[in-house]
Amino acid sequence: MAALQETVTHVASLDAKAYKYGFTTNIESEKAPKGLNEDIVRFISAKKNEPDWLTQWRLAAYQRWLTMSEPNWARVHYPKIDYQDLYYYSAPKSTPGPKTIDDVDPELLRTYEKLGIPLREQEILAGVQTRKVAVDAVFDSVSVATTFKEELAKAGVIFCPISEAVHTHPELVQKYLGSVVPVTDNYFATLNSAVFSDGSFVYIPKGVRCPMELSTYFRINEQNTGQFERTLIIADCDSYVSYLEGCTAPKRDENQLHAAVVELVALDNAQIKYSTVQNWYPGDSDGRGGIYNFVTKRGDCRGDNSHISWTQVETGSAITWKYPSCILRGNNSQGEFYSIAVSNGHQQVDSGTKMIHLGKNTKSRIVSKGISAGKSQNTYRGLVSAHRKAVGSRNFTQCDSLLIGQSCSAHTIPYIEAKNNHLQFEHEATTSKISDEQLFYAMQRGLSAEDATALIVNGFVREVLQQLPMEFAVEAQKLISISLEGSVG
Amino acid sequence: MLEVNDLHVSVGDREILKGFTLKVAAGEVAAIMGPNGTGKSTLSYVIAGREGYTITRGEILLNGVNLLDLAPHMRAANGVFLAFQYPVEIPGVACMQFLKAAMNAQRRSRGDEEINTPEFMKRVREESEKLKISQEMLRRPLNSGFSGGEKKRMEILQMALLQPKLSILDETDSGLDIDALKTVSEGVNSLRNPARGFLIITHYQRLLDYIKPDTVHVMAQGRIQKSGGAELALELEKHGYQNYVSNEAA
Amino acid sequence: MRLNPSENILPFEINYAQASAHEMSRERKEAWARYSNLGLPNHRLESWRYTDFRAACLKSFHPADKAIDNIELVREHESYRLVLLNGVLRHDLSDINLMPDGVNVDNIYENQSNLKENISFNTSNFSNLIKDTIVDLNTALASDGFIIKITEGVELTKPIEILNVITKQCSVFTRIFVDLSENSRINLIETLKNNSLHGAQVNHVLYAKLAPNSGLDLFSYLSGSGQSCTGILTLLAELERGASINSNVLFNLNGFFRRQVFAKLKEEHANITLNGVVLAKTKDHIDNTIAVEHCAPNTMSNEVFRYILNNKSVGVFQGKIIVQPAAQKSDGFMQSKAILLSDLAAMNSKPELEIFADDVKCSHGSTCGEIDKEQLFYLMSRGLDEQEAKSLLIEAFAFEAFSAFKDDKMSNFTKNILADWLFIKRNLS
Repeated sequence: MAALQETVTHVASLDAKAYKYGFTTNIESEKAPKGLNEDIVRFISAKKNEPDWLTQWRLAAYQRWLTMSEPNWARVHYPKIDYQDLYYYSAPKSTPGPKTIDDVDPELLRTYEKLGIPLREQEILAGVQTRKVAVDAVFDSVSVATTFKEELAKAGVIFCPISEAVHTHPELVQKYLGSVVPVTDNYFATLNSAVFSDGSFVYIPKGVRCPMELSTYFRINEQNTGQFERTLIIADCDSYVSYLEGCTAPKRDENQLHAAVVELVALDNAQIKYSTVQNWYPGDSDGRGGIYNFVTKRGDCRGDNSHISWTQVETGSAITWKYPSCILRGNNSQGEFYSIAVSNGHQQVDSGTKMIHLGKNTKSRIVSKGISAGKSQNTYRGLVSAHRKAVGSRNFTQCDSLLIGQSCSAHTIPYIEAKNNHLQFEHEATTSKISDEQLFYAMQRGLSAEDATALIVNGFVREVLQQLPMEFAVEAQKLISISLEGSVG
Repeated sequence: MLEVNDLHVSVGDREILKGFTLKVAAGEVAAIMGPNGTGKSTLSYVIAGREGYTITRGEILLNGVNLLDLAPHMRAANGVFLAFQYPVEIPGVACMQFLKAAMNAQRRSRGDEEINTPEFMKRVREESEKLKISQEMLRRPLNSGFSGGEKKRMEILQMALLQPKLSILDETDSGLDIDALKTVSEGVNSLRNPARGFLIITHYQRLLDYIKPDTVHVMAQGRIQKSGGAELALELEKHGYQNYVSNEAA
Repeated sequence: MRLNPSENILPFEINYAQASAHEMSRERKEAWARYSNLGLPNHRLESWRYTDFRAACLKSFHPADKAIDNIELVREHESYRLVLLNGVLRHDLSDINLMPDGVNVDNIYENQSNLKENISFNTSNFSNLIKDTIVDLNTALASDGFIIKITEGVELTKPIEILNVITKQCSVFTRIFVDLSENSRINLIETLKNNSLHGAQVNHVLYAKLAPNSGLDLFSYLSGSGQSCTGILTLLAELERGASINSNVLFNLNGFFRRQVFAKLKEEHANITLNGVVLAKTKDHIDNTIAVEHCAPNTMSNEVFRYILNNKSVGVFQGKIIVQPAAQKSDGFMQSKAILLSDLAAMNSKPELEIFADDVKCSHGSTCGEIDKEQLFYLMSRGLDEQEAKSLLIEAFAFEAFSAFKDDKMSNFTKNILADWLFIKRNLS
């Protein structure tokens, strides 16, 4: 239909000009010299006054990394990364370590304001924000501010930069760091283990329902900087936490590397909800620049009846390589993965999940919605497996792809491995475009082609959006619209 | 109000409408009856602006505006409403969300203010009660998993809310049981007024027992073969379309 | 990957040594060179991750000796029959001279003491789909085979049957080329019967080339009373405008087996249906791997597979639908379902979609698990005992994949096999 064609052309011509977070911030920063070697690893460790065990841990990771090669099985293509041409540490110079929000460079605060992050508690308390969200903001490599610490402390919740937790709660960090994503796990995770600079640490004590949503905003600012944050969340028995993660980066012509590791541990009866809205700079309309988002996220349902749920809205990054997974170790544990991955321009997405059923009566659910437009490639890659002893396990997977335009592609690569017979695995996948009938129907009722497309896309991803906390869902919906600009009003 | 003049429409190499001419006045309910495959649905789609049809000759005017120049959503903003024979399912989009999006889109196109939420809710409640549409149904995704009757009632609800100038009902009676037929007909009748025109496309007389037409047109082989009053429908019911089809063939 | 010299010698080296004692075609030599470079596919190759063929062929068998065995074969189907016994044509058992008009069968190696000639398969058309050496190995070592040419417009009512029978421990390399001219249509039955009590190895390739508007109904049946048949059955198919293939496969043999299909829908309105049922017991490992490439608009593919896995058997389903940018308005559907009847059975599936065109409808579904307990309870509450109820449910489950049979005789044949299998299973358990 002509209207659809128009939409498609418009989408195709979309430029990342639309990327509204593409500003840079002028803050003096302190960097380690370019390149990676043992000295850099020691430098990072020393900068953070880390205990010896952690320095050794990093060095072991570095040695291991040297023996590994970059994975090439994903459906993404990019020029070889020169790991010696990157900065591995960059920190805003003005604040060696903020004690309170007032110590934070005002320029930085303005950056976060532009990003719409409710960093200032005052604002929140003044009712500008309707809901309380505690925020840990990570700027390039360092955590710059954590809000609501006091209130959280009352509930016994620990929420702080991981570099701080290393000093204040060394026993917890040492016990859990690397226990879900081992140092040797994969190329990028191993690299992260060697050079991670900061990230968030969360511990929810036994029986505590975290009184507010916790949130981290990541931003890459510096040029040629790799960001390697590390997040560790531990939900002790009978506890609950909902955690939100958002990311942005300025427009740069060069590609920037982001290789984060997120580890979640849920003990008996604990529940962790982890939501991500990823909006790293995707590169321009010719595919120049943009973030390489090579991230390892894994949750371990270690305790019986534990529950980990991943929700992700991926609209940014030049390349996304990311498989938030659940190890369903505890009996009756549950894992969920809800994903919306939007790709446009020259973006490449290879994302999905792994659900590893080890315990008895474990359940998992996967709902993945991929939308490809422009010249992008969008791949869902997932594994559902059941161990011989994982009797009574259940999985349901729904994987849908929507294609907008004729130059994009969508791929579905699921692996389903069943090693016992007392289980039920179901997998469904569809690929389609927005049908002419649907578009005509909506237009007959008065919607323009763009509004009609937006509405239908919205319906397509609704099931996943519903999993997000309210304010995040609204933001995510807007982001999807912006990412598909041209088709969406 | 509606003027269709010498309309010729083809799909691929096949000409479906062959010089179709029709006038519907404001306040008039015109019924178009005819055997299957004569181009009745084509006519409704062409008026609403669906793609895939080639208009080789003719014009369609609504209150003097040539609809053929407009994209489907602008025709809707100008007051064209098509109740589909097969309403389309849009998964994930709740009925309420869709209704509001459509109402506001039309208002914006016309330069009117958007409807506020309390007012919208009130109007939906009023109209849906008349059509026996439950609140639960309104929360469901549009037409997804609806029964035939539910889909048709949802079409009439949209018509009531959008207040079109010209309503085209394409085989609205198909797939309806007698109770649903009554509900739908009452819905349509309550919308009749001197400013509004209706084009009712149907194969059977049945629907016209409930919605009394002012004029009846027999369509066969791509054009109107005979026009008359309500009594023409009864005659058709008795004698079928045989005469009109063979006339043409002869 | 190159074989480490310290590893076992290249499997089937001895077969090649025997063959190359005679003059050989260039094609064979080149194919062998490719094979000897890469070796047999193993689990490190993505499409072999669930079926490690190299590990299954650590010990390779010799080709059968040329001794003429006395053998009696029951006619299971009313057909034009061509018999390959232990990899070599048996004239006395075949109807090679009884073929009807319009069917031309050539046996390439007839009266030839050497392997100078070879059925020329142009497998380079499939190079984007095939990443291993299985077909090369077959090219290098094929001991016998046929070219079956069907004249334009010929439609056969009686099927042509290719019966591959193995009676003793040996390795068998056979290949068939079916060339269907425009508007022709045949029914082909491809039977593998392994009656060797000491194992067998099979590598059989069927290459079907379909001219516009031609049709092939193919039934592949893998069976036999013998033990541990390790092998691969390959179907290469190229379909031109409006051509269609309707293929059904039924596995009912002991061993480690893969059937792989590489199909190209090259022109508009070509369509392919690939259905199959796997009946597996003891330690069977049965793999169906399919890649269908839609190259042109308005092409259709359809796959329905059912696995019934007993004891320690392992089922593998890998299906890939590729829709190229030109193939707008194509439909692809793929479904695999497995019932695991034992604690120790396992199922691996990997149904893939690779879509480069936007106006397409593609979907796949995959389920695995035990028999539906509610259905079982329902049937038992109506008076069936557990075994009866299970049999009924399994039968219904398998029949979903047999629904595409156009030929009632074939359909009944498969139903009887299934009934027998269930009967034996019931009486053993």
